[in-house]
Amino acid sequence: MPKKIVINDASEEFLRKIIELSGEVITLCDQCGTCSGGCPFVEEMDITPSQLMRKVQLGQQDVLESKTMWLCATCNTCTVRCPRGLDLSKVAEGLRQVVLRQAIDNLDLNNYPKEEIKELPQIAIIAAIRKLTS
Amino acid sequence: MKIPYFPGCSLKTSAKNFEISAISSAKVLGIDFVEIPRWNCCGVVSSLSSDDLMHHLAPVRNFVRVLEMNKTKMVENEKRMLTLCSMCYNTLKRSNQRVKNNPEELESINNFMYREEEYDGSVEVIHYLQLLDEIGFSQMTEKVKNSLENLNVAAYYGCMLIRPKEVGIDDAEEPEIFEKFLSALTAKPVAWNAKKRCCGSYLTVNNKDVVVDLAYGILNDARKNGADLIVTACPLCAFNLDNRQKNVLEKHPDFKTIPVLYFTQLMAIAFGLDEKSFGFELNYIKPNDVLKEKVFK
Amino acid sequence: MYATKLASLLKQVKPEKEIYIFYTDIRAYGKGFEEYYKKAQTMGIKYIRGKVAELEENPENKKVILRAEDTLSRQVIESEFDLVVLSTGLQLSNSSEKIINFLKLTKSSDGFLQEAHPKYKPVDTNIEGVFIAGTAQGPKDIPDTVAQASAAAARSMVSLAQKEFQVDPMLAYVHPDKCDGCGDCLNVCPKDAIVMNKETGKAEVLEALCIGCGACLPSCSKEALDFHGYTNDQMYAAIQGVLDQKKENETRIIIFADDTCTYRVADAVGIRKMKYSEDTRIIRVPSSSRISPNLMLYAFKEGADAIILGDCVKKSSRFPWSKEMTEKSLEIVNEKLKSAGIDGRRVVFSEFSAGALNYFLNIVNGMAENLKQYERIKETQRKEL
Repeated sequence: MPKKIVINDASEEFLRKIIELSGEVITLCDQCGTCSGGCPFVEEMDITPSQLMRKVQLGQQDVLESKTMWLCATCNTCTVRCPRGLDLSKVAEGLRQVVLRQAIDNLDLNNYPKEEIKELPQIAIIAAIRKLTS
Repeated sequence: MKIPYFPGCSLKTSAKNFEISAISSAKVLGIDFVEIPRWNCCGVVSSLSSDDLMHHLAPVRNFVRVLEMNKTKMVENEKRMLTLCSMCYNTLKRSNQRVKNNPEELESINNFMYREEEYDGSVEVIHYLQLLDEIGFSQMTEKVKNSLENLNVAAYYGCMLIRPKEVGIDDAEEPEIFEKFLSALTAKPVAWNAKKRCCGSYLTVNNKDVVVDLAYGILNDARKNGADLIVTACPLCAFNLDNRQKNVLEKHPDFKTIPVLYFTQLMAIAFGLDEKSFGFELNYIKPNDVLKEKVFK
Repeated sequence: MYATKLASLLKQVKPEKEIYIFYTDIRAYGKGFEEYYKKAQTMGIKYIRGKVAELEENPENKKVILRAEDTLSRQVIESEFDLVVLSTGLQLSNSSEKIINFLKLTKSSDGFLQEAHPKYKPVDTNIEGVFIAGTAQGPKDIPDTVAQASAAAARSMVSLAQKEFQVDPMLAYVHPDKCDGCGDCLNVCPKDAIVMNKETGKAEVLEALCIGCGACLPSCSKEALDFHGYTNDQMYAAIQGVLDQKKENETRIIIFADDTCTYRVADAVGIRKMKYSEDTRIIRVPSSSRISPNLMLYAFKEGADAIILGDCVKKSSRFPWSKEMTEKSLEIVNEKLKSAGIDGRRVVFSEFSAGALNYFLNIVNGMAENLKQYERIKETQRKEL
């Protein structure tokens, strides 16, 4: 049985925090699913982008445990299609920032095989470090 | 025509072939890239959170350099900043738009780098394709020495050239600037589905499998639609689509490889420049065979 | 709903067709609509809650590959279909543009024709005697179109039943004795209501065309153009009237409030007993564009310290040209104030929508606050105007 959704002051505060960080009016999302349908990474995600938006709307902080925001590479496919004009990449960035600002990284290059890192161009490494580490 | 040119990290390392082919082919058109002195990293990816001003410092510093170039007469009244790498283009342009639209933020950035000249928001970030379009793609047609008429080319826009809308150099859903470019170079642009599908970007670092799957889909779509090769404007797309073909082959042994070139390499080929300016040694899948068959007969 | 209708029709003829309707929200709001939707479901039409994100052609079999999220199961659908039909939104027909330009009707921000008032005059337009009905005014179904058309017909019968067409008395007119036939006013009227009488050689207002904005008045340097109910004499007297009690060390802000929006906002502010600067005096006008530079300069001469010109927000205004024409007058006034050494920021134009009470307070109180910082206007400066 999936757990119940609890709506309280903390959930409202969480929503406000993400709205502030992202600058997006998240309450505008009407769950049409256009973002998920076109997302190139959706198959790898545990929750779809529209589901992520819903969770933020309802202030469910367990959204921070999801992989989804870490898989968003800011390709902006959803951003240009959202009928409500929302920029989901900014919402994902807001969520990543909440985690990263607690000094919790999502990438540890020390555990990577040296040969693999050598192969990578620096544009990829710097971008990954900028988005996935604090 | 002299124009301030921002190379960025890749064009000096993994994408040297992009730079050398661009500079030498631009000369044919009378365009002189003047490298911005003391340029610094653009930041690679745009910082999107509302309170993160710090990461927009790096782009603004580069804009100040362009102002200095005008002052010292390195360029004549040319406040456009030319980019080749579409990641740099996107990041710089987004930062520029942000500080232009938020005078208070620009003021705090200016105050922070008080030893620098003040940035007034007057620099315009442009991509090389835009410049070529502006001076007229037809100018290139006149310079074509090696006809590409037998070459079917898939133009890969990726993300950064066309999204988000306020940054894109063309329509976000139906772009055609790249195809116009190809036609002017006498090549045959192919119609295909994956031209604006994301290659996986920096997830190539920590989610290699995702990128390999995406690359497989994109490359196959190009092949199925009859492309002989793919052109791109992004060093990261080039890595994911070109170098990652090694990993695609590991996963799908029957996969048929396809060369991925920078659009400027195609210019150098068409303009009949010598092989040194092609820089093929940095391309993972070599285009020599297909070029021999379709261009240098 | 029309997707449901077309799908049902197809299913009746060819029951073997597999039909899917992708939707964001089902809005089956009319009488019998919900039943119709239910019937379509009974026939086996499948509804998928999710907007289609991508369509691609399969290069091999030329079928359409569709991608969308089924938002109810939170899974992405990627499948091939033989045919994809777009359920596009409704827009005003292109041919409507001709009649809009010919009759000089206005469109609302959604691109459809604007009614004179959304609640009280839903089938009238801003042109007397022209009525709208059906999808020219906004998307609607057949019963609503018929209902609206019946209303429009009934409204038009009211006009037709009268022997003479009555127009609103608040219109522009010409003083023949003052008009010298210079023609300056001829191209000013957005409704082309001013013509030159060839026999008398003087300008004339066609009362059936004039809709009473007063924007033509500033164009006449002889003040031969005038306005019933808001005549030049009355306006000068009103300005004098609100200023003659002004004591030394007091300031006066005159608001020229347009009848439709600004005056109503000010009224609502009053009813709610909201406080604003006591130095304010309100003069009601048909539209801000009626106020000529002469009137504004006269106000400063007589002791006004600031002027606020209020009008409706352009997109919902009966006189959408008002802002532009008022700003023309403002330019002239600013020029004059400048040469007299008076701060030009003492005259502002503002757009008010009917409910913008706090905005009204901000503008008025903001001006009162600013006046404290500006240098007081000297009598010598006033005399220069």
